[in-house]
This record gives sequence, C-alpha cells and structure tokens, in this order.
Amino acid sequence: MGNKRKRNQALKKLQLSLPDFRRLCILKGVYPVEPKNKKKVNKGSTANKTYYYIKDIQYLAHEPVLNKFREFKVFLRKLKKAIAKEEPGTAQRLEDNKPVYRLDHILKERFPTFIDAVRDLDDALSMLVLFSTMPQTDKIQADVVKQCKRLSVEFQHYIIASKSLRKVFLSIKGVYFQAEIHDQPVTWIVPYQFCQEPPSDVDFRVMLTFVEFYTTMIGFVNFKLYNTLNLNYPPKLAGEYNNANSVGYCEESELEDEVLSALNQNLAVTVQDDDVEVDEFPVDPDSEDAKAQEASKKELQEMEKLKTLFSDCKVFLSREVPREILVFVIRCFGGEVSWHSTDAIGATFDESCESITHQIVDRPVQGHRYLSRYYVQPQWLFDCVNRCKLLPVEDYFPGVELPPHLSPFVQEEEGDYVPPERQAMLEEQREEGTDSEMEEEEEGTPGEELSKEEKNLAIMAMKKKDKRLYDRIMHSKKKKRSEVRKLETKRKAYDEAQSKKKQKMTR
Amino acid sequence: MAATTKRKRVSKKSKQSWRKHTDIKDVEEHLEEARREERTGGPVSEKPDKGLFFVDKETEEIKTTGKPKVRSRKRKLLKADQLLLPESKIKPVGSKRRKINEKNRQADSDSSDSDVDEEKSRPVAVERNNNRLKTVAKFDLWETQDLHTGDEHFLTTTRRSKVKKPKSINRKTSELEAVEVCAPGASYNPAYEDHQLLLQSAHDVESRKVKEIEKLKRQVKFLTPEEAANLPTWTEEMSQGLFVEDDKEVDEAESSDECEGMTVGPVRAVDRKTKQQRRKEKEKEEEQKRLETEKKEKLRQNEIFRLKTLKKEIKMADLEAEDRKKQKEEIEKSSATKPKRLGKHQYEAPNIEIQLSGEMTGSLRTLKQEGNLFEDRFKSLQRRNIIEPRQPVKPHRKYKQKTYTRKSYDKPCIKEI
Repeated sequence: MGNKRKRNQALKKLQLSLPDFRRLCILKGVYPVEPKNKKKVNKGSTANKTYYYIKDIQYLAHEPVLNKFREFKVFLRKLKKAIAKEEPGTAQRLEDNKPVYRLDHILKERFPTFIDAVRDLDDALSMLVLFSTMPQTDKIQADVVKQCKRLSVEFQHYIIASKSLRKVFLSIKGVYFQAEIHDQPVTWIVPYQFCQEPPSDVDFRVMLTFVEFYTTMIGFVNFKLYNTLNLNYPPKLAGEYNNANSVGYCEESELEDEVLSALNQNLAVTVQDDDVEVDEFPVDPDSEDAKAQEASKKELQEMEKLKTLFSDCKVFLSREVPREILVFVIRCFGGEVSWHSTDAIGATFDESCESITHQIVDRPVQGHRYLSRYYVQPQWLFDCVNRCKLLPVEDYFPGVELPPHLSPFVQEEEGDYVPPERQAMLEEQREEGTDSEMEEEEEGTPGEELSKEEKNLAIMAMKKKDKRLYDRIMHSKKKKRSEVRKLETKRKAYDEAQSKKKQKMTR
Repeated sequence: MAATTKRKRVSKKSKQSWRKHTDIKDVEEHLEEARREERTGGPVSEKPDKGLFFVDKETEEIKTTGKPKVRSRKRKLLKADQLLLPESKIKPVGSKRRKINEKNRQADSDSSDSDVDEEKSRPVAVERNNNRLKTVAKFDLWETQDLHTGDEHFLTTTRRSKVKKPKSINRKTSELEAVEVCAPGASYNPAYEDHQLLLQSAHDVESRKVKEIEKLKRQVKFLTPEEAANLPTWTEEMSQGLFVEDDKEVDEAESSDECEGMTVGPVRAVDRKTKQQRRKEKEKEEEQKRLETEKKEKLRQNEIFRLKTLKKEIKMADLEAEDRKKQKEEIEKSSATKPKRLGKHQYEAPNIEIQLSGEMTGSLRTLKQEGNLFEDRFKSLQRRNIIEPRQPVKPHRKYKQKTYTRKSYDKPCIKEI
C-alpha cells in the first residue's frame, strides 16, 4: 500500500468526522498528496481519491486539539439533550464549561522561529484584511470580523511606525501592497472599499478555519513586531485625542478603537531609544569589501530617502477618494494627512489650514480652490511611491488624462517589450544610479563581440545536437522579437489616433 | 378492664429477657424532651417570660375580617449590591443546594431566597468562562521556552515531550507564491501594451475553450430524424436474445459436427520414432549447442577489437540517460507550479479578470472592481495544493417530496360543465 492512506481510512483511524478532520488538517498544516501510481495505491483501480501520508496521520493522532474536538462533540450532544429536555440551568452550565482549545503550541510547531512566521505572512494578511471588510452573515460571525479588523489595523500601524512599505499597485481586483519586514518581502492584497459579496461556491467552513489559525498567528506576530519597535501592545495612542471632532461617531467606549482604525495618530512608545548609527569598519579602499560597503551605504541612504518621501507634504483628502488606502500610504512615508471632520472620525486639521501642500481630489469640478496648495489626483501618491521620488504634479492635475499606472512588481527580461512609459522610468533610474557601473560594462563588451563571419563559421562547426538547440533558441527569440514589433506598431497607431483625437478636440 | 390492669407475669431471669420486658418508654421520652430543649436553647422553665410570650396588640377585627396577608417577597438583590458580595469559591460544608424543578418552582414561587441565590451564582460562572478565552497574544511565543526536564519515561508517559515531526509535514506543496500579483495589464489605469497583452492572454484561454467545445461537437454528432426513427425500441432492446431458442439449437448441432472432424486418432506403431532417430536428433541438438557456445566465445574474444565502438555505445547510453534525467527534472520543475490531482474533482482555473477598453474609466473614483477576492483566495489555496478541489454540497432532501392534488381542487367545477 505504500506510505499513503485514503482519507476515509484516516478518518476511521482518528475517529473524527470529515469536517473536524479538515479543520485539524488545516490547523496542523497537513496537506493531501497525489500518489505517483494510482493503481498501486488503490488496489488496481484508477479512481481519483484523496490521500495523506501515513506519517502525517500518525502525527495528527498525537495532537492535543484532537481530544478537544472529541470533547466538543460530547459537549454538543449534552447541550442538545439539555435543550430538548427544557433544562435551561443545565444548558447554561454546559455552555459555561464549553471546551476551548488553544493554538499557540501548533503555531510554534509550524513556525519554529519568528522569521518563518514572517515568511508565511502573505496568505494570512490577505485573508484577514478580506474578512475584516465582511458584513456579518449567517456564516460569518460578528466577532470574527471584529477581530480581523483589529488585527489588520494593528498590523497597519506597525507598517506605519516602522515605515516598511515598499510597493503599491492598484489593480482592478484590489490594491497590492508590499512591505519589507525583517528583510523579508511581504505581499498582501486589500479589497477596495466596496461591499464584498460572499460567493456561493466558496466553502466558508474551510475559509473560517484558515482565518481562525491566521488570527492567532498574526496576534503573536503583531506582539513581537510591536516589541521590536518598543511600542505598546495592545496599541495605545501617543497623545490624548481631542474628542471635539468625534462627537456622535461612536460610543465613548469605542472611541479609542475607532480613532486607532483611522490610522491617523501615532502610537505610544514604551521606551524612547536613540537612533543607532551603522558601524563603519576600516577596510582597504581598493578592495571589493570597500565597494560592497559603499554600495550598501548608498542603498541605505536611498531607503532613508524613500522612508521620508512625504515628510514635507501635508495632505488633505477630499471625500470622494478612498481614504483608508491613501491614509495608510501617506503615513507610511512620513506624511501628514487629514480629511474633513464630517467625513470620518480621526481628522486632525481642517481644509482651511494654510500649511496644506497637497489636496487629493478625484472630481473634475471643484468648489472653492486654495491657491497655496496643489490639487492632484490620487494616483500621484502611488506613482511617487513606486518611483521612490516626488514626481512633478503637473501630470496629475484634476481633469488631466493620467499617465498609466505601471505595476512595480514587473521584472523585465532581456528582449521583452517595454512600454515607453516604463522605459523612460527605467532610464531615469539608471541615470541617477550607477554611472560607474555603466562604464565598466562598456569596457567589457567589445572584446567579446564576434564578427559576422566568425559567427557563421562557429555555427557551421557546431555539432548536430548543439545546432538544433541553437536553432530552437534563435527561433524563440525571433518569435519574441516579432511580437514586440507587432506591439510597437500597435502602439504607434494608437498614439497617432490619440493625437488626432486631441487635435480634433482642440479645434 | 381487667385485661389491662392485670399484669402479665414474665420471667426476668436472664439479661436478655430483662431487657425485653422492661418498659423504659417514659424515661426515653423524658430524655428526648430534655435533648430537644437543649437544642432549642435551654429548658423552657429557665427561660425568661419575654422570650416565651408576647402581648397581642392587634384588634380582633383585623384578625378575623382582614385579607390573608400577602407574604412580602424579599427584595431582589440589586446588581450593584450583588457585585459587592464576597464571592468565595469555597462552599460551606454540607450545604447542598436543593434541586428545584423549574416548572414547579415557577408555579409556587414561595422560595424567594433561592432566586437570589441563583442570581448570585451566575456572574461567577460567566467570569470563569471569560477567563478561558481562546489564544490571545499576551506573550512572546518565540522567546518563551517550554522545555520540560525530568525522567524520560515520565515525560513520554505524561506526554510532555514533543512528538517527532515527520518529514512530510509542512512540506512546500507548490512553488507558487501565496499572493500572486496580477499582470501589469490589470492595473486600474494600464499602459496600452500591457492591457493588450492581458487581453490577448484572456482571449487565448477563451479560444482554447471554444476549440475544445467544437471538437466535442464534431466527435459527438446528433442523429438525423430518420436515424432516430429507425432506432430499436426499448422492448426490442430489452428482449434481445430471448426468443431465438430454435436457432440456437441448430447452431449447437453444427458446431458439434465441426468438432468431430478435428479429433485426433490414437498414435499408431508406425508413427513412433525409432531409437536411431531419437539418438540422431539428440546428437544434432548437442552439436548445435556446441557451435553456438563456440561462436559466442569467439565473439567475446573479438570484443577487444570493438573497444572503440563499445566506448561509443557506452557514451551514447550515458547521454541518453542524462537526457532522460533532464527531461524528468524539467517535468518535475514545471509540475511544482501546477495544481495536482488531489481528489475526485479536477482543479478548474478561474477566469482571468479583465476590463475591456470600453469599461476602463482611468479614474479611481469610477473604478469597477473585477472578480471576487474570496474566490481568488480560495482558488489560490486549491492551486497551491493546500486543499483539494470539491463540489459544494447542495442542500438536498433525504426523502422525495410527495405531491398530490386536493380532492376539492380535482372535482369538476360547475362552470366548466
């Protein structure tokens, strides 16, 4: 039979029901396997079934949570009986002594070190953020949503405090964020603030089990992250928040949570620590170590620059822009931000404030305009972040056709088609960056270049096998090039059409 | 009367009979009385008058005519006072609470004290439950050490020592990223080329689907009406081979005739091989064997001259093996990013989310979200082989529902006649 077992056999061994088994598998990180030979594993039948490793099943049998599942089964039976017999007292007593299981030991098993947990944060964050936007339904309980919301807000506060956001991409599906936590890239997707409708073909029992595990995980991760920054956990607001603007938004008891989730206040710090200077070690100025050190120093400076990208900006948000996302992005790069106090809780300054430098608007027609500030469309912020510098605001004025929003997650290979906008961006970066490296490259290239004749000779002298491989490579290259050319011509035609349209418009 | 006065004479010779026939009732009664008085606070004779009597000041009228006094219910404890009560978890010894039947209690609610008692016991229970909330992060999970020390046997039997993890657990099920960032063409305001590329890829997927459907259609043709009419009926098909017994018998007879012609007769003496023949055959066989081995030996000796070709052959075989290995590796590499077959159902890739050029607005305010993130996450889990693809269980009935028309409804109406 080999080293795998069918799922039903596993159920029988563990004496569990199928939903319980599924939950346990998700919590413990046990996944099904595909057998290499279907016939060998299934008595000659080729029917597709779900298999698990025997060792995994044996491992599950040792799990303390398994016992809790069994206890819960008994508890439910007793409760049902008490309710059927109309004994509210007994039912209450049973309810009070409901078996509860903890997941921290599983968490430590699955992620032996903190970095392991950070590496697996992508999935957890996306799921949590998604559930935090959900309405309460028969499938999703209110407290799950509330906890997800709390944890995601805490995490966002950490990102703001540590200034570790790196990339933002607005797609039609949602907003992709990438942050760097403990030198690990963490990517997550946030839905737009629309009503998320739960689809019919998604198994919510499975999803909720994942959410259950991920809430525990992110809780511990948040605690650790807050500790590394010397922040209070659970988060506390740094200064006293004046309640003048927030009257009528919520109950007094919920005020702090609400203000926290507005993301507009700094968090209280437990210990104030001085900035740590990077140690410099004396090295030989000509050796490679020195170059590496210089490069890393440069990178560090770039990073510092990026972290304080919006530090000179004081931004005001109009009510038609997606506030949550924008506030998060602006605050991650050291900017000051506020909105109209009637829009939402947590506004810090008013529209009439003289020191505002930018106002984010997304309507073609504006009411009163202040001369002391730029009115820009929200894309300006995201493009600034992705290009790591403040872009000229002229292209982003209200009513102006915006330049395309390019994905910062793309890594172009050689021979790929690069749109002119992206090309311009790349060139700009190259100019700013490494002039010295360019020179080196130029020095290296001419010697290696072969003349046409030599090349032909080399091809002729090739072995049959090598020749075939070479032809295949060349063919794929040619294909790629033709595709690129096609795209280029298409773009040309499109640009011309656009310019003609513009001319007509101006006439 | 005489019977009562007359004492029965009994012997009180032994200790046993003495005990049996002596009357000590009065003594017992006196002692019992004395004990009762002791329990209730001393003998009555020694108590002061005040403790025994009181002056009845109520008038006779009220006593007779007044309504029977409603028993004043004790005021329920206020919540505020209740919270201040000491909540000792140590119960007083021997004070077992009476079991109360809920129904009866409501009917004659005379025991107002018990009401309060229950109220008092509730907050404690609730508090206990709150203390046992699910895992809440209040400590650093990765810094705390939970190393148990002690005898190995003790640790294993009390399950303190950790179970060894199998290698297969927490293996990476797929090389895919947990959150796959969508193509640059799916930007809310994409560059023209990116958008075209995305549309092209979506178009390719769609055209492949159409091709498959067309292929199926080609393979499975619909019958023409004539063909459909000529199909055998159900009864014909079901009675296939039932009413053809006569033909079968004929067939059997024919087949038996054929069998007779094939039979082999007994071996005659003439057909037997002679001893000489047998010997010669044997010799011939041996000779052939000898020749073969000789030839083989010769070839083996001559192999030394084939060294060059042999080397070539070995090299070729090695190359082929390497090729096969490479191919296998390639397949493995590509399969690492593909969803596996983990159950009855196959993974179905979701549609690529696109916005046509007409649908794009280029503004964040008027943006329409495409696709559903729940589905996206769920499919991602399936794609990464974390959960197996399943068909959602639809709500179904255990028994078929009966339908019938009511008699009154069934009856012909007067108007219709």
